Amino acid sequence: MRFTKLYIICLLALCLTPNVKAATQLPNSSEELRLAIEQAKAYDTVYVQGDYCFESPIEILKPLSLIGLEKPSLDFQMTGDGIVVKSDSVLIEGLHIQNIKKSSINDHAAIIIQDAQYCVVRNNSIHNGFFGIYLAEARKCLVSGNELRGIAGIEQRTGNAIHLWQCDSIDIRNNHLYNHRDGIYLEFVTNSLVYNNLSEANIRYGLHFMFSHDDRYEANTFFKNAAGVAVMYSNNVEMIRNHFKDNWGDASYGLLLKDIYDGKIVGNYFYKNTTALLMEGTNRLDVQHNEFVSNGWALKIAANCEGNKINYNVFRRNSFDVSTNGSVVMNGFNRNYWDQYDGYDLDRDGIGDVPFHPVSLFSIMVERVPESLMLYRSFLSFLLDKTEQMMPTVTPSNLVDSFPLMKQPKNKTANLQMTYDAEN
Amino acid sequence: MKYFLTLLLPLLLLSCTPGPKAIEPGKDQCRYCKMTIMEPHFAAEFVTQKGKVFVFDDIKCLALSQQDGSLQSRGTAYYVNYFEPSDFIPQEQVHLLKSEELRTPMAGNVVAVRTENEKSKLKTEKGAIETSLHNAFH
Repeated sequence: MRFTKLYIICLLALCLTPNVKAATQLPNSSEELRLAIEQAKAYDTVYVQGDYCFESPIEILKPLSLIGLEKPSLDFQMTGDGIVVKSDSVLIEGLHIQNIKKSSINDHAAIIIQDAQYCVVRNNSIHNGFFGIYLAEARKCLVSGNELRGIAGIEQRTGNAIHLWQCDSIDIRNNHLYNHRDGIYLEFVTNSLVYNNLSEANIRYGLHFMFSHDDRYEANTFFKNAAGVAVMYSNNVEMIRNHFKDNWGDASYGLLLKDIYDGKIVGNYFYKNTTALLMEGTNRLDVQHNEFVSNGWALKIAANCEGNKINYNVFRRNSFDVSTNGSVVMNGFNRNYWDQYDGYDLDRDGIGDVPFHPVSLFSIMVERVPESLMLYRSFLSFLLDKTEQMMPTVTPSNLVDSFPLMKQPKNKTANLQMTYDAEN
Repeated sequence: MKYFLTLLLPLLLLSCTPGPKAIEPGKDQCRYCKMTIMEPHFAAEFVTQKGKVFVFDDIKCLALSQQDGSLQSRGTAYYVNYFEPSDFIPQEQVHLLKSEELRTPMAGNVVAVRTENEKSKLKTEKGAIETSLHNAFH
């Protein structure tokens, strides 16, 4: 329900901001643009066209619409921040901002919104921004349709594309985030929605939650990020219908969960990740109707996870379906489809008559001695797994799907098409 | 000659003394929170007596792992100098400073410096106050 409220607020923000009153005259130089912003009255609109160079940030201290016609370029020549907003109800639309200063001490950004509400940042493109769009202590804002393209070099000196710190009720949608540190970073952010973004080739995470509660991310695509997506120290996060693809590498995950409580992971699609879903200190989560296809490890669940419900998921063509590091398992696995299941269904109710143990002895061996991966698909590992199946001794006996599905359930994820740039 | 070199190799390995290693941003993972380290100037390391190096992205992560006993071995802690990421400061020489403006990856907001000069610089620029591991994370 809180999301409908958020949505309405954002719609209101959209209706209210572009309030055209002043006569329009296009500024010809960066000084004129500065002057136009300075002299504009509250709720005026300033139109921008052409190319400008700046040597210091533009400050917006009153409610204002700053709209670019035909994508004007604002070059900040590596001098510092770009546009700094310190007022409510500011709209920034259709600008191309580039070359923000890089620094390890200060977080410079192309667009900064500080301690404000009802702001909209829409359809901008930001190239070589250190941080892209930076919201600090902002409330009820919309960030939509922006394209952020960082330059993450060998020095790894780049900031996050969209960075939120201590915010509430923010709507982030339809953005394209490329080659930054984190695609979207949320720290101390509540009641917010991240919807239909494409986050790719970022050098750390595609999306990163820290201490952010009651949020939701839906229908996003995370593609080829160095370490995938991380949700950490956050409660009540809903993760719905996202695609996690090609997050490949030694310490790379599709989705990394660390110390989180009460959330939902529903209808997601994990394809070709080294580890699709890693759960550590994760409690009371519903993991349902997800599809894990062609991953190295589909699900790594640490022994300190409790009360998770892992139901109606599909596991196909993964090297290892489930792996764990302990012998006690306090999570329920029920009614999942496992392509490695070779049981039978005599009563033809669609549920296998023999329980399925997804953890193989070999996967436990690999967990303890990673080098033994060398024996993968060897006759020895086959023998080990067969013996363990007959006489289980090492694998946790209560990690079991008692009702394995014989046929793949029709998951919604299979037909999910990303509608990125449909709304741009 | 070949055999001589092969004999020499173990000697070379033995001669290594345990110490901190340079952090590789974008590659090294924090041992406690699993995050990839991107900002080495907030990091810390723990070197066990046998020379194994554990890397932490935030001083908070080092403090928490020392408290919960997950390091399971004895060793020395090293702190990365906030102003010089290649400088590793041992426990005895470190000055820890805390400021909300520092925004470390795990929100511990504590950084390490070596000299009085650096200390006063942080105090004036970021309004930092001196602290200790025990005071900051207990």
